[in-house]
Amino acid sequence: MASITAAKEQEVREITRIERIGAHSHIRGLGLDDGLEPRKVSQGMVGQLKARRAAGVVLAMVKDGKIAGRAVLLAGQPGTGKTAIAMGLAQALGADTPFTSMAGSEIYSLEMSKTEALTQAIRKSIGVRIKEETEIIEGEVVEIQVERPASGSGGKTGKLTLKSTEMETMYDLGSKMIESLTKEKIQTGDVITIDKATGKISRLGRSFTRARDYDATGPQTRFVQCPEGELQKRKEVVHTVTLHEVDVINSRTHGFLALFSGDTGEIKSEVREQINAKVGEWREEGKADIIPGVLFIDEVHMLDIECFSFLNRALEDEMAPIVIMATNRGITRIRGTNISSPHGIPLDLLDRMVIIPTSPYEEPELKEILKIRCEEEDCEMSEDALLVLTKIAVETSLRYAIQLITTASLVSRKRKRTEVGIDDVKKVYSLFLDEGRSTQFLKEYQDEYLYDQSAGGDAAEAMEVTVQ
Amino acid sequence: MAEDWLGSIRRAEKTAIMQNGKRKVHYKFPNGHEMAEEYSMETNVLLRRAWRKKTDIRRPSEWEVEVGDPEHQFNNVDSIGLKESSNCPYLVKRITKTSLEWRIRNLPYPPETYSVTADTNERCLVVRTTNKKYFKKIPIPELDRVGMLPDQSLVDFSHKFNTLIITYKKPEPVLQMEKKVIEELKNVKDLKDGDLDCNPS
Repeated sequence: MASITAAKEQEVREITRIERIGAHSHIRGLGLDDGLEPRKVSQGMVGQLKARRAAGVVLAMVKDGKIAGRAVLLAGQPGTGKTAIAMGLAQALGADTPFTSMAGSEIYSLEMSKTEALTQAIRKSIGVRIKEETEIIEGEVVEIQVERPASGSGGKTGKLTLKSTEMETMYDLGSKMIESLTKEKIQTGDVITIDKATGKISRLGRSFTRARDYDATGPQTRFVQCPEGELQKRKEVVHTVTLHEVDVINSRTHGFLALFSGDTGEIKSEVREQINAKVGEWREEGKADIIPGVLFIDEVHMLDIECFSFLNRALEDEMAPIVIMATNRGITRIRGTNISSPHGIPLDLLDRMVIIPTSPYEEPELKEILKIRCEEEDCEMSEDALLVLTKIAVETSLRYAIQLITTASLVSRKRKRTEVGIDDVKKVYSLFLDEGRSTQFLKEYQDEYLYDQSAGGDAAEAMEVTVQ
Repeated sequence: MAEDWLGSIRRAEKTAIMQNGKRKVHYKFPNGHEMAEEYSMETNVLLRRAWRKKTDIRRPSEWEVEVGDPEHQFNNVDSIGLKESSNCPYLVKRITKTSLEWRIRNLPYPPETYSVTADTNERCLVVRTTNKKYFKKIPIPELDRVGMLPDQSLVDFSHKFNTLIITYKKPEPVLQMEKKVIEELKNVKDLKDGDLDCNPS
């Protein structure tokens, strides 16, 4: 049994390998059990138990979907897992709940005003589930043929034969469809549906007529009847779009010129009001359902006083999402004013928030995180090298230690070794400075750098040269 | 029902133009749907009719042809990677003076394979094959528009040159309705070719 699950894990990892590895790509959830109690190490999350528990409560609130317009602040020192918790929350919410992630500085754009950017972000975080009639093809797979072109160039082509109880049709396949057929592992005897508008394939199960092919059935195989009637039919499907998408589509049809500006331009407030009214109408008729999602604003201290007061009001709307903000600032100036305030956020907005603090990691936790990152970055590291790396993380920062993983693994590969040892870590530690050592270095050799106060004359000269 | 169709034609915003010996009429209905028709100028028979339905959340969809030759589809296989094979059966509807006519091309099976029945419950014609290779429910909007049910005695079909031809004799109310619509369209002023005003914004 254990080997089966291991094999499965392998398979899942195979698929995720296609993606590139980002700073938080090891996170797969919040690492909570069913009772929302945090597990010590789970789903890529380590430590920070209290904060994760609190995020779990927020998760329950979002899933409930009744409470609108709450704000949550994640506050803590740099590198204490604020963004990781937000990412974990996004993963735990699932694909159907909208989660928008933005950085505070993203709202400063020349193309639109700050409030427009914020409004768009808010509306991106609210989903509408709508029933729509689309054309689908539903049938049992009789045959799949894939031909590779003999010349080796050009896409694959193929043929797919589907049948219902009454008819049979042959379809030509393009490379896109062949790819998704192989990805879904569709084979003869499966009953599938294909959405004609999007090309999305879903497998309903295996046909009852194939129930005797014992070797092709697993424990989870579901048997279904072969579909009746026509292969192609109109069916009501339910899908989720965000309010912003509805805005964009409806503002486009209004003016010819809107086509050229794309979705970056501003959307008129009348359009939004119309859509709100329409969505409300749909909801009353039972045609649509509103799913409030989550808006995550990282580096929230970058917002200025106007944005904060706009948020104050926006949160009162009953269509507002749950807003999660993160900051690593202590008591500092609010942008756009001369007033200092905790986290650089005005007191009236702070008053509306619940604050989740994150605390610095302990040494064992750091080690655990580094271990997870090593796995994520496909790097074999010896136990003592990991210990050294943990020491580095304690003395400098976690981010710096994580940077050393891949660099050290590259150095060890050049030395043709299978495992990263202490020497490799030492080597990269000497090659790359951390922030502390770099500062010290600068202080020592300040006189020799350009544009220092002590070398004013030189600086002026240099300026003149660049002007020419 | 009968008044409804005529009423919606009357209420629609209509534009007409003469081109290549055909009179083309474009309808825009209050609910956002669009319909385009082509009439023969000699016989006043409808040659083509296509619909474009408006959806609330998606972009305007493609034209759906109700009567006449289907639109050509170029490289459709690239959009989602799936296309009906070119030798699959396909349906074309035509209207003549006295009857409605459907041709299903690419049906190579012997004539005794086919059966066409009028289904009054589903308000459509059902084409079946005994070898279970083809099946189609054909709706008859003309009958729906005058509130009639399909009648088996008016259906006739024959098979020739790999094509199944189904004819349905137009009952009197359908003929009346067509006449009324033609009358209505006489009130629409024709634009001259190239007379379209072009103000893109």
